[in-house]
Amino acid sequence: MRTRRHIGLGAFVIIVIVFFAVPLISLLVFSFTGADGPTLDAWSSIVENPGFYSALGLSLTLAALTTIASLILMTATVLWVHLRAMHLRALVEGITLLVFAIPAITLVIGATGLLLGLAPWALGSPLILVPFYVVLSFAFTYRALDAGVRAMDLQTLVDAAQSLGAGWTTILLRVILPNLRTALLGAAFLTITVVLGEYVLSSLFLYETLPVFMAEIGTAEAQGAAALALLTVLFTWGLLVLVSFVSRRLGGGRPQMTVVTT
Amino acid sequence: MTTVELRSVRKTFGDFVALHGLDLNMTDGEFVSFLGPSGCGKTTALRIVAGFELPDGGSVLLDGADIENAPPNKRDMGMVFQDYSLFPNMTAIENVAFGLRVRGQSASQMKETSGKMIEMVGLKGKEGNYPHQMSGGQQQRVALARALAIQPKVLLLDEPLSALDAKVRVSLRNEIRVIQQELAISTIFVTHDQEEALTISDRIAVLSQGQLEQFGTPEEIYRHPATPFVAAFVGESNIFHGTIAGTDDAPSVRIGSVEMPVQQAAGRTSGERVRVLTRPESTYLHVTSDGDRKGIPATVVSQQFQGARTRILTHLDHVEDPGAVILTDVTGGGHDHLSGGVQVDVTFDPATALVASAEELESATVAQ
Repeated sequence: MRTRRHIGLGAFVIIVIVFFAVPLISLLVFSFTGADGPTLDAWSSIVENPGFYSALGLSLTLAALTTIASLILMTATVLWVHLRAMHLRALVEGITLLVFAIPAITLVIGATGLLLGLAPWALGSPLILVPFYVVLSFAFTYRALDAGVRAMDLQTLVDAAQSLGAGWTTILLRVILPNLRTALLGAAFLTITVVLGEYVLSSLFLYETLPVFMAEIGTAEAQGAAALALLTVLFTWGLLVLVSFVSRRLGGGRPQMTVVTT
Repeated sequence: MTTVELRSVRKTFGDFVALHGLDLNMTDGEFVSFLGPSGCGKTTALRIVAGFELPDGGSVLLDGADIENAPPNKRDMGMVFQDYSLFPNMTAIENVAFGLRVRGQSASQMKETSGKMIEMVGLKGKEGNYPHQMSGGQQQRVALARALAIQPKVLLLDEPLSALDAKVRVSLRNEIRVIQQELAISTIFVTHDQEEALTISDRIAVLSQGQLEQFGTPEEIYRHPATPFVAAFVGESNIFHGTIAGTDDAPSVRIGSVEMPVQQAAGRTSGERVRVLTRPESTYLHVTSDGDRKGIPATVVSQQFQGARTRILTHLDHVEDPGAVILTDVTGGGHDHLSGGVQVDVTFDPATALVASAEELESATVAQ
């Protein structure tokens, strides 16, 4: 019985590995494929293309700013909901999902019309993408932080800290945030992956982020797009490993509050 | 000196009235338990004292001063919660030192005080353990040390033992009492466990449906329950159906065909249908002898040996409450003659028996 179960589990693991590995291996092989056999042309053309660095730099800048804004906004929201407005939890959850019900083109046209009237200068900077990315990442950050807060019995910890004389700043810095570290890292990871993978908004606003650059390369040079896609996947995986490593180091050996999966 | 006084404290949550004007005062160094079933308002009252809830009306006085406007972190009260509430990111010693750090104590002061507290609760050697590396009892000891480390004016204990297993619960409650007496700290202890409350309290406030039913010493609460609710909730009670008889000078209740003296029957209308509540240890059995009727006729059903005492179960023979089981506790040996089927007469202590109307008793039972 146990042997049969082991065989079943082994088969499942092999299928999963094949499912994920085959496309990646295919991408890798394809990126080295040239008309006259294996070549590094696709990779060298990316590395030598100045547009790659500006696109990467822009995407990373947007990712950093979005992550900071998203974490501040959603941490405050989640704490407020859990401490003061539990009855609004379902509503807030619903609001975070709204973005999936609104087509990106609608979002952009609506926002552009509004901004042209109120602050037309804002459209001249790629930073205009940040609030949109924050909205896009709502659902992921909210859920990651919500799971972290639910795992820590927030209300009782706050009550305990208050009864010991702590004010809100102390409670936030010494009690809440240290116990939300893993959730915060998970939310940051999700936000970064959302920004690094977002294409529609940035192309509609005519800014060349990494996905837009990748699409442009793809139209002229399929191998280059494959190499870029592989780079992005490896970067994301590297980030995931980093998040796990950092959260384990910061956790001091105690159990982690939450695990976030993409 | 620390006194706590609650004056007409009211609190509602939507349509639910959690407290209907609670009046209560405790003296310096006193250990007071709030006892009652779930939803009786005991935790709400404690949270109002702690400052976590604001009353809709009334006031809370600490040493005679109204503390309504003081936030929880300025009330100088240490609190221990039901579910430990240790900070998971801190070790035992860091948890204990938290309140001291907030107060700006020096590192050496913090170390000394925290160490003393850890030692006092018997956790020397566990200072570096994180909460998840400790048992429930150990975590609650750390929570107690943490609450006491700040030398609070009042210690608030919100069902601190209810998540622990029976053995740890008994040992920790005794430790809490010893420490409380050593430090002479005014303490409010919330519990739904009557045994806990009776064992460690100086006084007990029995609450039901947001109202104070009785506030007295454990002995007063048990031996002289002020209301049917207290009689039914604290300890076990026998219930006899009867009607008021006798006079105010010689009050009695007719139960079946027998008139039994009951002091609390005084002042009630003759002929009023009532219930008489008695404790098993204040209820007595007499073997019937022909022509010598001493009490209410009954038949022994069985005996239960319970170590220090023997419980005897009897059925009343009279028709008004057929099948009613009367419990009698007797100590010592020599009760073999009270075996099943033996005819007996039941009597009770007329001074401690409680009289209630059927409606009063019914509402008390519903409240539980």
